[in-house]
Amino acid sequence: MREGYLKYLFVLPTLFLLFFLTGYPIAYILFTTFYRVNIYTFEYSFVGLGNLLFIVSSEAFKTVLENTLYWTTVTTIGALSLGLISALLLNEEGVRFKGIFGAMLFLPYALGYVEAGYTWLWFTNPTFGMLNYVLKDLGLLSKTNVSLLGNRWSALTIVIIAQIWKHFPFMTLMLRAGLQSIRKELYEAAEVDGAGIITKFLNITIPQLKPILVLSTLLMLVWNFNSFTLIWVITQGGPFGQTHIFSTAIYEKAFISFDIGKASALSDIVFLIVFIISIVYLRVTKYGS
Amino acid sequence: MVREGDNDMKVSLRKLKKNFKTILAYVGLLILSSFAIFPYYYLFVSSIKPKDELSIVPPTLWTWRPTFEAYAKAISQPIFAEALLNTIIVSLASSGIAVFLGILSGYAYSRFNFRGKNKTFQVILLRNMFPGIAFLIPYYAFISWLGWINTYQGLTFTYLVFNLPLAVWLTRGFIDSIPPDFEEQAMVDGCSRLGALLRIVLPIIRPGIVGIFIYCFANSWIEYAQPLTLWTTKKTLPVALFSIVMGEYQIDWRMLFSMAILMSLPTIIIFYFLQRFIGKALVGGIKM
Amino acid sequence: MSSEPKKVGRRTFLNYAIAVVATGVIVGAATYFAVPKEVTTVTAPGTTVTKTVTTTVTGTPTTTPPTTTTSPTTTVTTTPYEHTVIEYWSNIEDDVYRKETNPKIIEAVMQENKWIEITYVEKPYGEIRDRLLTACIARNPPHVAVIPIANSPEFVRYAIEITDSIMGKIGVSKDDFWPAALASNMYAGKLYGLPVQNESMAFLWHKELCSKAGIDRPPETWDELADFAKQITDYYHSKGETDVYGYNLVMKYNHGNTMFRFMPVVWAYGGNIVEVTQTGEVKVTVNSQEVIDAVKLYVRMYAKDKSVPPTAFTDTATEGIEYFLRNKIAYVIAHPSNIKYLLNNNFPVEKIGYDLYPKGPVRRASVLGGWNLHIFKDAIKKENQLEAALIFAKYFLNPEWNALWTRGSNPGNRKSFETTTWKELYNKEWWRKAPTSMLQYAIAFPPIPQWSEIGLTVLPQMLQYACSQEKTPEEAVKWAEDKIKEILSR
Repeated sequence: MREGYLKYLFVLPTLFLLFFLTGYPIAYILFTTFYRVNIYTFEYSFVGLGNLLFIVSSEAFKTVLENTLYWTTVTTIGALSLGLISALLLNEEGVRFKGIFGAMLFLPYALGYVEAGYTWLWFTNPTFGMLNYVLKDLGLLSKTNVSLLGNRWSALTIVIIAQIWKHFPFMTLMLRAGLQSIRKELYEAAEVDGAGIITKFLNITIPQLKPILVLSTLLMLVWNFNSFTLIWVITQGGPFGQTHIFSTAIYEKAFISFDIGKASALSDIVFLIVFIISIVYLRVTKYGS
Repeated sequence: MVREGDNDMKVSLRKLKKNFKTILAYVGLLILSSFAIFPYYYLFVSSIKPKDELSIVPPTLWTWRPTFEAYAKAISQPIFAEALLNTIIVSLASSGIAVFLGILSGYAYSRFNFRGKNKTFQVILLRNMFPGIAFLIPYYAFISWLGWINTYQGLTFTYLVFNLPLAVWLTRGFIDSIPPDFEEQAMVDGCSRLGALLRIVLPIIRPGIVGIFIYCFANSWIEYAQPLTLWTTKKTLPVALFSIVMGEYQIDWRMLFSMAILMSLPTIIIFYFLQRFIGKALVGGIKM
Repeated sequence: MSSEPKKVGRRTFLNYAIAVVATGVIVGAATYFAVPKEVTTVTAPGTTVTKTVTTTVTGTPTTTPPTTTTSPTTTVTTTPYEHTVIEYWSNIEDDVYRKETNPKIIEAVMQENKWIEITYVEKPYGEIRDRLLTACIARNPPHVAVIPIANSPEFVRYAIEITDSIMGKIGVSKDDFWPAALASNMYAGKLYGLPVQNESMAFLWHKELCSKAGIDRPPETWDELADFAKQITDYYHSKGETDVYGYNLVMKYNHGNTMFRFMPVVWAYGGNIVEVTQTGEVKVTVNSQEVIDAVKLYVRMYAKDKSVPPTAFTDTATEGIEYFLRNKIAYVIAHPSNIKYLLNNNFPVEKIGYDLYPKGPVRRASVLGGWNLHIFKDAIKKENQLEAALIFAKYFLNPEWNALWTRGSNPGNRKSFETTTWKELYNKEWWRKAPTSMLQYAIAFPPIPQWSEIGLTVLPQMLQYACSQEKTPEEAVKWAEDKIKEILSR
């Protein structure tokens, strides 16, 4: 075959770069999982599965796991829905000002995570932020100096909304691009056969979008799972460790408790969960060679 | 719009349905845009409020005495221009390389079959499956061992590590949705594989490529933790922002807000101009 | 039907694609080659030059060059040391005097010691600890760093020991420093850093708000604070002003200010969370009557009297000052920069009361704040680097330079208190009397590296358990004891 070696050339630079740049850090994480590292004397002692067992059996683990799964599911579904709706709307024929709307829908993506975090922090501040006053006017709150971030579920709700807000333009972007490559003739042919909106959507749009839909949703899922900055700036894992997700817990373990071994163990658990989720996901959506 | 066997009423009914759909679309877009834009609005208004109105209770949504002094102060910081240049260089370089390699590898994963294809495809996403925080310490050790602290290539390759896997995955997704028949046909006609890629596939997935480029660019632009760790003597824009704004005891909120907006402008402008490549349908398309 | 793609646009698209990719690659390559490689100029070792230099030091907080006569007169010899580069890390300066003086010190060092070159690296305040820690763990720290006192225990084991001979070379002695400040640099009885700046907060009270409620003086003790806070809150709430409260209580998780405000109460009652002995042994003393009393004070104010804002679990110091600015709170523990902030926002001076902390049954206490200078082991590999770092430290801790650097606060070197440089600004700014007077009562956090975790996570949680009445104070304190023991056992 004439493309015998060419195909390797296409992928080798990528694989080489990634392996070269991530090999050492990943090896480091895997290594320190099984050791207790003293960051002052740089001595390490083998503890086997000690770190992992400690984490899995700790009472906080359940909370963190719950939070992370809840967080990942809701933010991904939220971003997917908003993204899909935006992409479809922007694709509508009769709509003008696509440029302006498109740019507005892109805005959340352009703001840095830290800045976005501070904006939402300011917005939800009981004294100076708008949110409590709006909620009070809507009758949902009885008074304004209630700390919405001071309660686990309301805090989670706020950061989830903030994360959806930040990430949905990614889905919009990818799905818009995906919609572009769907051939118009397919729709016209279906219309001739008398298909309605829903039928067209389910039988043409979704199947045609499937590759990009499946992949970008998975990417969004992995990305949300490991997302750190936004939630840290807003809650720092508070109140009292109740809005910790895996990434914030790892940060706390590594930089506040100086327990590299446990931080690495947590990272391994994260990796395992995400890996399994992605394999199952790809299988369920029947995506593959 | 008009088909065989139509009478006037059917046509106007169809037109009405279409107009209704369009209005619904506008309503939907307005709602979504308000959601997307309101924090920005909040940011913007807070940044132009005079000092005494900033933390007024209850907070107001508008000010009658707008002032742009925070912006003027922000731009006049000497570090601003240098940080801007650094950020442009690193973001462009890493997005360009990511897109380039992404196209090549995405195409290969979509069209070719080779040993270890599926395994390596999942391995590419490996780093993203680990939480980024866990990487900070070993990565810093590794980069300083390479002697790449404070270098452009150090930061560029760092961004590549998280941009490239997604570029490859997404490109593959876009290419997967195109049947390979056209390339086969073109190759039968004597076109090389590379030519097929460039002349047939690329034009079709152009919106996707532009989208990926924008996405990589935006990610690199706002990245904060990596340049903070890996660049000690130089700064990128997000780092410079916090160095100016974050005090030991006080945060200068108006400066923070104004710089946040300034910082997001280049990405927005680039998006606005590149948008037409994403939104515009190809003329003619490809017929079966 | 045509099977060829439309020709129009193909070429333009091709050009576009090539342009984008080429730009990316070219820009990347160009930057790589354009970045200047490090230029090392080697001054010939062995050349001896004797110079007498009078460095003059300012007395006024402006940019005019210094004018006093006393100063480090130095004979400079470029001797056996070749060109040495020293990396100095500090935070990005908020304080204008430090900002102005850093380059001056660096320049003075470099001018009078031509073989030394100093690279100054700034990090944002909240980031310097994480970045420095990352660098230390990766065994690539800077040579010298000036870091907040609260972080020193985490870094002492990466720093070189400050022996008596080193102190001699730097030109200082143990008596030049506050004992509490030195304690923050110690580990197992040995010294690993030197204080360059020290400060304390003081007690801010709203004169108008208090007098209207019938109170004309600041509270003498913490218990009196609780009484007054209740009186004020009840007074205003009975008049319908239900957003006015007595005291800015801070109990936020993962937030430094919580321990800055809680520990003084603990110390005032005579207790401590942990005790560190001379040999470096750590005893967990949180489960004691004194700490329980301190916790009870918080519980009283939050849960029983309700004399603090209900948002105490998420309030920070920022909120406290904003409440004060808006006449919504009577008592706040505040930093002198907060007073400046109030004045900058046209808050009437006559309403500001700024005095010493209330005391407890055993003592008056506040948290000792400040900055310490450390020299890092992994960076000092050769003798010339050590010499350079010591020379830098010598300038930094010289009384006149130290006074210049810390004009906006208080110097680490107590000899600097005597200089006119420092006194001038101190006398001008009336609000500095209280915090400077608090220095003698100030105590540093227990010098153990695990303190961050304890202060950021365990203490707030303990307070929350008690204040939300999920546990009794005794149970909360017991919980904290178990948690701290577990942290220390790692």
